[in-house]
Amino acid sequence: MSLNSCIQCGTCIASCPSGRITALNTRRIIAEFISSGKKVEERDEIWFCVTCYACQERCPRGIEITDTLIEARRTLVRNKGLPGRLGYAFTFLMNHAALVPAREEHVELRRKLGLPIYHAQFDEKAKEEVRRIVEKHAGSVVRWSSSPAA
Amino acid sequence: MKIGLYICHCGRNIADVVDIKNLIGYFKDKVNVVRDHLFMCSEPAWEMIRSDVTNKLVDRVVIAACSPYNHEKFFRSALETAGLSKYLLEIANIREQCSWVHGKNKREATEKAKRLIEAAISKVKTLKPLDDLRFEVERSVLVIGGGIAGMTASLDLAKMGFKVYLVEKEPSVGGKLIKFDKIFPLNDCASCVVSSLMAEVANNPMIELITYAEVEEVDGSFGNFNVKVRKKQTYVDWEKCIGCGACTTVCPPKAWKPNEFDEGLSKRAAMYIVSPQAVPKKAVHDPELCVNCGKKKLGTRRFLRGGKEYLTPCEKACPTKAIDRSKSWNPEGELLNFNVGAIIVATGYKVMEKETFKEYAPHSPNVITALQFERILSPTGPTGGKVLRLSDGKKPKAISFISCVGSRDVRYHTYCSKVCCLYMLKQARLVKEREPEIDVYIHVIDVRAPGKDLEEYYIEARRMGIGVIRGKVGGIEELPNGRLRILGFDADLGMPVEVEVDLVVLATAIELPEDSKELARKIGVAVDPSGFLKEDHPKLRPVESTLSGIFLAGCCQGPKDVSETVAQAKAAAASVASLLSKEEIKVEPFIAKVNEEACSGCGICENVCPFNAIKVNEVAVVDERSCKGCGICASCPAKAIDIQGYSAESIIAEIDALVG
Repeated sequence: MSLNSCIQCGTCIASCPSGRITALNTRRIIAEFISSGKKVEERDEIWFCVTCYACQERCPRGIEITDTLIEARRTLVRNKGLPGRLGYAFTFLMNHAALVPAREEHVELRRKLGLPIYHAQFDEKAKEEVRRIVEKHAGSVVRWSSSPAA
Repeated sequence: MKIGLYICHCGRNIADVVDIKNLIGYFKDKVNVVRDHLFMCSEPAWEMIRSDVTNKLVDRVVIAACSPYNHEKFFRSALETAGLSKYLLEIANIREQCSWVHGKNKREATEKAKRLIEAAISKVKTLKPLDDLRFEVERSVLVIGGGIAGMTASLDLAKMGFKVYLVEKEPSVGGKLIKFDKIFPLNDCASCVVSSLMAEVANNPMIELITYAEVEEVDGSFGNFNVKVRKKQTYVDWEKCIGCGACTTVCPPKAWKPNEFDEGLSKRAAMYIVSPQAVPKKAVHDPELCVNCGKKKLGTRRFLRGGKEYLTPCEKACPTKAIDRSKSWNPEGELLNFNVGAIIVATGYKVMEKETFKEYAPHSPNVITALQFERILSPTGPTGGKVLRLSDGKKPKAISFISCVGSRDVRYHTYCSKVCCLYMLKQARLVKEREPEIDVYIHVIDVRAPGKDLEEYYIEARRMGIGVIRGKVGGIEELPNGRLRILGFDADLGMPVEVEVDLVVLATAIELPEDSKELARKIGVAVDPSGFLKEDHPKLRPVESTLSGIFLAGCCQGPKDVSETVAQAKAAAASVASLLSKEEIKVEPFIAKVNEEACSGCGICENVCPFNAIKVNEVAVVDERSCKGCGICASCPAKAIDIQGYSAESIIAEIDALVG
């Protein structure tokens, strides 16, 4: 269903858990698209969407609001790459198979006590799997580092 | 045989796509007269056709224009007034079947128009002069539904001298309106509007009021329908019942259930009288709810040890012995059978239940539908008209109304329910009048108050300090203290708003109840995509259903307020009267005709007829009244049956021209 069928009732933004505390205002995004043709992907605040789909579920016009925002994010990423820190986070995930690496002293302690080291970053199979997942979903914007740090 | 061809431009509807000059050139030598006109449905064009017939230039007419559904009757009248059989006419639909669907292929559209016209010419050559069938009219009417629409129509017809059978599903007439406190725009008392009508329909000698009954079967056609009505079993002798209500008060709480009249806000017993204003005011017994006090089942007797007969509390309470549980009551009730000339369907509406809307905390007892709030505002309701919430009996400090719940919403109903804006304003005003310190908010997409006195009604609500917030509510959160947090949006401020209230009223959508759809299926009336009963034409035949002789009134045809419902009911009554006031009615003669010499009396036709309209007595005989001209019987192995106006000869001629 096209954004043009929006009747500006406000259900989307009234349902939005993020919009209550952030600059995200889905109704305004659609209003400005209708009135001035401003593209959804030209707006930074779409990154505030938590993709809970409440707006899309409740929209009385059946507009696929969340899907539109996600699609706009894809376009943004395709054109400009991931925004700053997010690109770093994905690269880190790819290289370490985890967003939060294991703490050195914990690993030492486990070794000392003879406990298994279960962290993904020490498991080549897991690392390979995470790398494949990241590559599949964000492969075009992050690059595999050839020197994986342990 | 002199054939006249009349081609319509339909303004630019046809002429923009179909090459009319080309058509005229093509048919010039194939028929006796070819003429075109910008609007063939105009009076000058009608006169042109008529004078051609009168001057004996033509004796068969083909009109190439819009669908026969639009103007066939109008064109027939030109032939008839010129003294020719009006059925020597054929219409080629070059608008709906040509220009409108082939707008991008002008050349092909013109070629298709030629074929359609050729087929019509071939067919018109085979037509024979026919006369209308004439039937006597049953001067009585069945009105289904005893709400404001059904009662108004019944009374109007009764006053015009027609016998009316008013059938109501509930034990009492009054419909939804009797549940209301006041109605917009005058804030006059709903009960005062409707109570007198209830009394009138019960006492008018021309009206046979049949309550607690449902239409089971409708046969026959316009002018003479045969109707079967099932009168449900009341298990109370209504001849003796005086409506005192004594039985309803002794029925034990184990046999109680949510009271339909109070929209579930109170309880009613197995033995009940619908409402204090019920007409007829008679008690009804609900066997599904009954707990069989003293293990005395219906239709049995019980004797105590001393030999004395045991009576249930209801039997004991009844001062007139109208309740006798030992009688063998027939659970099927009684089947009534009568004939009527026309039917008015006025079965009304229902509102959507709040349970559908999970985002609006439907589990909270303090979230209610607007119809439930009507009961709270009503002096006959569970709070006696005091603005209280039922969860704790306390007066709310703040109330929010939420509009368009299920209306204007692709997930439920795309239409606007039309009356919600105004009734929310009305309910808000009634709250403010009674308890000015209660804060009242109305959350709306738009306020729709079109027409006389209604915008003024809205302005007065604003003046009274009712907060109208533009922006629909996204959700409701139930807070630990029992209050409700409205997650709303204020479009004027352009930001989310949150309001904490004690009571939420949902303006849920108006829709056609499932049992009305069932009834429509039974009697053959069409339901349109909105889910309401379909009128024959939204502007020209707004009270006629798609079946002749069956009319529509009130909200079963679409959401409308009391004024519009009454207007439509009166229109339906007048339309019925205009048809039934004649001695006889004329019906198109397109029915089965038997060639008695060819008929071998094999009886196949009798077996296949879906309308029981054909009987074999040595030879087949058609009941002209019941025959719908469907043509199934024309599959006769001896070719002894033809449909008048659609004979095998005509249809073959048409097909030959189309494929030739």
